[in-house]
Amino acid sequence: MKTNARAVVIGGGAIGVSVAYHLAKYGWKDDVVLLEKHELTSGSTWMAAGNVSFFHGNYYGTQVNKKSIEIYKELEKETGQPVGWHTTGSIRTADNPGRMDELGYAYSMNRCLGLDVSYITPEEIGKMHPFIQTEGLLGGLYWPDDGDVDPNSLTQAMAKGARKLGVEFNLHTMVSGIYQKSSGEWVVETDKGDITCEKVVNAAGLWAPEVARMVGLEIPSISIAHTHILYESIQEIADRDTYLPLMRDPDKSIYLRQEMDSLILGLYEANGQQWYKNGVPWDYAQEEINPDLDNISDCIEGGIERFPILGETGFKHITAGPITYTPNAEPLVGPAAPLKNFYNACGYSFGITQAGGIGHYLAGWMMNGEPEIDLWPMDSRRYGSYANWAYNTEKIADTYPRLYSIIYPNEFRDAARPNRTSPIYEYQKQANAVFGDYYGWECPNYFPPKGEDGYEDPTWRRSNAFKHVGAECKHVMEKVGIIDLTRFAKTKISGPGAKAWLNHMTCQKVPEKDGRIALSPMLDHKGNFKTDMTVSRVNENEFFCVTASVGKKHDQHWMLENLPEDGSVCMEDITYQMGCLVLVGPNSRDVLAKVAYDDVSNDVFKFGTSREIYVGRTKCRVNRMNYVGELGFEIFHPIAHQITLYQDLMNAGAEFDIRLIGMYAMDSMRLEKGYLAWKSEMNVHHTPLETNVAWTVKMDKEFIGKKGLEKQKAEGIAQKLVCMVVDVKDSDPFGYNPIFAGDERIGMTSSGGYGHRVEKSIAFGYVKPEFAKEGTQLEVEILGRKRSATVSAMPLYDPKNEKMKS
Amino acid sequence: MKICVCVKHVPDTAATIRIEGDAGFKDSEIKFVASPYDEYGIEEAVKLVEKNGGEVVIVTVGKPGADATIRSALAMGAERGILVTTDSQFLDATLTAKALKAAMEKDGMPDIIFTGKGSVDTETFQTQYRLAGYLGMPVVNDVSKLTVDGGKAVAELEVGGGDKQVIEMNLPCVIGATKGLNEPRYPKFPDIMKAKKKKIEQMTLADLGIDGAAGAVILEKLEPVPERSGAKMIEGSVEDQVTELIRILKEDEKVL
Repeated sequence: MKTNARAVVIGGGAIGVSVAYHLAKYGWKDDVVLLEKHELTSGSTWMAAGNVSFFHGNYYGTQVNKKSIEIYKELEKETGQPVGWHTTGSIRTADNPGRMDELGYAYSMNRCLGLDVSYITPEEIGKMHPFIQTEGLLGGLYWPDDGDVDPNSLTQAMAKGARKLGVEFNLHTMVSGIYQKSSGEWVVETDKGDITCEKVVNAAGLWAPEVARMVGLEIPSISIAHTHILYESIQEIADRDTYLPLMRDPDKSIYLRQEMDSLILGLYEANGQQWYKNGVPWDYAQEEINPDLDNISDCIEGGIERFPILGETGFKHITAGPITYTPNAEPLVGPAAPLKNFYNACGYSFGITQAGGIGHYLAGWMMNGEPEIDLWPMDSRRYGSYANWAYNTEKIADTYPRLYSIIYPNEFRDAARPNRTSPIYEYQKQANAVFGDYYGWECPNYFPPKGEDGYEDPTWRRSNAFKHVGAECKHVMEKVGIIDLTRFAKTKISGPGAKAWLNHMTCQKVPEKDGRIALSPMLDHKGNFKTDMTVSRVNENEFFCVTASVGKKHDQHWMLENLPEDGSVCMEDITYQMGCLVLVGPNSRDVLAKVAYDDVSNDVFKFGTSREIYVGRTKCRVNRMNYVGELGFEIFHPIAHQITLYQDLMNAGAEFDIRLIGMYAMDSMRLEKGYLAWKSEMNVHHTPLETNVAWTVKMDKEFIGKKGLEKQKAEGIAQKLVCMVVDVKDSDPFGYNPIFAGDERIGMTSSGGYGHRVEKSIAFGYVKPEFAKEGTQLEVEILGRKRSATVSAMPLYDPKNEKMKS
Repeated sequence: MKICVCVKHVPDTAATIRIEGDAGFKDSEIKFVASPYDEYGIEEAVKLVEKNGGEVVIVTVGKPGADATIRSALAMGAERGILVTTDSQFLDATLTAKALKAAMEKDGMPDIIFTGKGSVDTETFQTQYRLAGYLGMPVVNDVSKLTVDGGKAVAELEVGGGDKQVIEMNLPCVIGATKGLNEPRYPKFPDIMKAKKKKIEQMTLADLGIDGAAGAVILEKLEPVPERSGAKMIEGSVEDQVTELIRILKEDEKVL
């Protein structure tokens, strides 16, 4: 066995083998070693059903699936090993209007990628799948290019390809420990000796949590016994010349596909059995679990209702085997924070669908430093420390039976909540808050009047929260409100090198005067958005940086990776020490003046500045800036003072009719103000030059990403961010809607919603620059329907910022 | 016609047996099945009853969890089951045969008794003979074809070299079934659901007046087969490869 390698991949399932294969293929060749404690495929791969389809709940996951299909079709040519690919097409059915909306979302989102997808009627479904009973179906979507693959052959083909390129496969080799040397190199210890390497990939599947523990990480992945049933031979299928399409009836929580001259039924039952939830034994390998028929009989009956032949055909074999699940069933991929050069590729419950694609994308990410596409939905850093084992086991118990539930953009499921709460949580509850959870934080989405709409109906359209959100927006516009943003990620950057380092990290110029604030995008090496922060200068050697809560781990990991090793810059996470209440609305200054010991008049405390003041007895850092575009103050405070501060503000605000305001109102108002959101407008596909924050780019200094921006400046931008007003009555745009000029697809929305102050439905989107001119008539496709849209001036609300500066 | 089928509850041959203590193993986490040869007996019995009327009774001696295996046999068309519960997976064939005999005598003697040709867990291949001996019935093992007509049964078995032996006997008799006798049916879901409602009578060895410690064979120790890592690739000309293979089989593996 080698003692040195560029990359060591731990795990010989479809995922690990694909990562190794792609690393080798793209240039690392024989500098890649794969370690597997048993034989290839012996964890979960062996029992996978092998379905490979385009359908995925999100845009980027769909792209990974698409890449897999491309790779699987070419793999035999490249490796000489057949993978058992069949193009069968697939159908996803709907038996209720909510499901039809979800299909509408998938249809429109797929069209952003130019995929071949079409609506089909129950009659057409019946023709394509003669065994289906279509009664009750409203329709479905059909993807002609979907298919299936033999998981074992697929893994062996990629292994063969990898071996040809020089990858060393060490089977029956057990990893016993992993540590990092002071040089930064990793040492992977095994029972056959140690390997020193630059990069490590945890593709250990069922055992990924154990491997993670070796480097001090807790990752949220638990295995569940998934069951599928192979039926005995069916003569009518044997007699057919063509393959039956893969069927998914999500309303019955089943899938059905042809296997040789028979069928395989897979199911996601109501009570998924977590298997060795405290850790899978190391000696487990390719072994079937006792199937629990009682536990899955409801789904089998659902299958028989939809496909009556299943009731007349014997069970040839019932396969139950462990597959890993994460809290939201998306995998855990990418750089593992806070480590350097340690990557995750695990937590997969649809590994065959994505193995090819994720191998390709992760290899590129590891080799180039940045992912080719934004993989945030599967990035392992989306989970913070709240996603511990207990959270995970509770959450997965809820997620597994709902894998085929309708995806709604406004659904915040109750399981495993609450986790993190602001100290004023009980006050928020008393004010009838309807909460959402964001990075483990309970945060009010909206505040309905008592007894009304205490539960938000999940929908792709305007929900029962709509009018309450409208009332909150109007309240902020006319009076004063408090938004709880305690969940903000807060980082203190200090030390003699702080200013120079921050200037290197952001394209913006770091404030030169104490108390100044700068909106500061951080870019990747290509010049694309990494993240965006608000930097307040406390003094020459100390800066207070605020970033989005959900990106905390991602953003701080990026900073940590780039932190100078000489100790000249100190980075301190103060997220959990400081809360933030945003006091906002035309009366906000009057309220603050009543309780503050300091002068907060416009002459002293100007817009865009930051001051340390006493609000009551609470010493606060207050930024006169906000995300909703009214006069307002972001009041950062020691978290232990929050209730006192809250009471002071509420008492002082009583005469101004102060009230609490939720996240939905904030998001509505930020759209009206043309403020960008992280991972919507600001992701790895766009630079600031394409947006309305191009003004933050200061080319007269050096910073990460400058070269990319110079190149883009020279070549001209290919896309431009626009604000559109969309003509809709009940279904606002939400992002990943295709944008059309006539029949030509010219862009995609990044986010959208209703602006209650301007009373318009708003979409942000990137389009070809020639369509960015104000007044251009376009169409935005929402839930499968094209809606007319007009490119409008950005922002729609208070373009001169008179309100914020008042 | 009443037919009893003796079915053994055994670990799936693909299961990884994790040994616990000296002579036990963790059975809670592995998959159990009806011993595959017994399934030929079940199928044959069900077919005979479908043709001639009567009932098929499954008789099992095993741990309490064996009821799941009986249910799978009931899903194939048997009427009801009898489970004689024991504490151990490993039973001496003498004890098993005594228990089967006592259970059948209590229930009423059948016209035909089927067993598999042997169980795939302990592979002692003796139960059918001992059972027939205790009951004073004729027994034929390894039966791959069977005809039952009136009070007679004609059984065929392969005896090597392509020869077949044909044996005629009077009922009642004991038949040890093997592959070729039939193609055991795959249970359909509605049959599985029906099987849940079928009766399984449980009794202990003591209920049958049998001393559980009376077995003649005592299991002293279970040891895992050491895991072998990887395949050996033999290189060279065909002649060299064969020579090397024979050397390995003789000297390294000591199987020749």
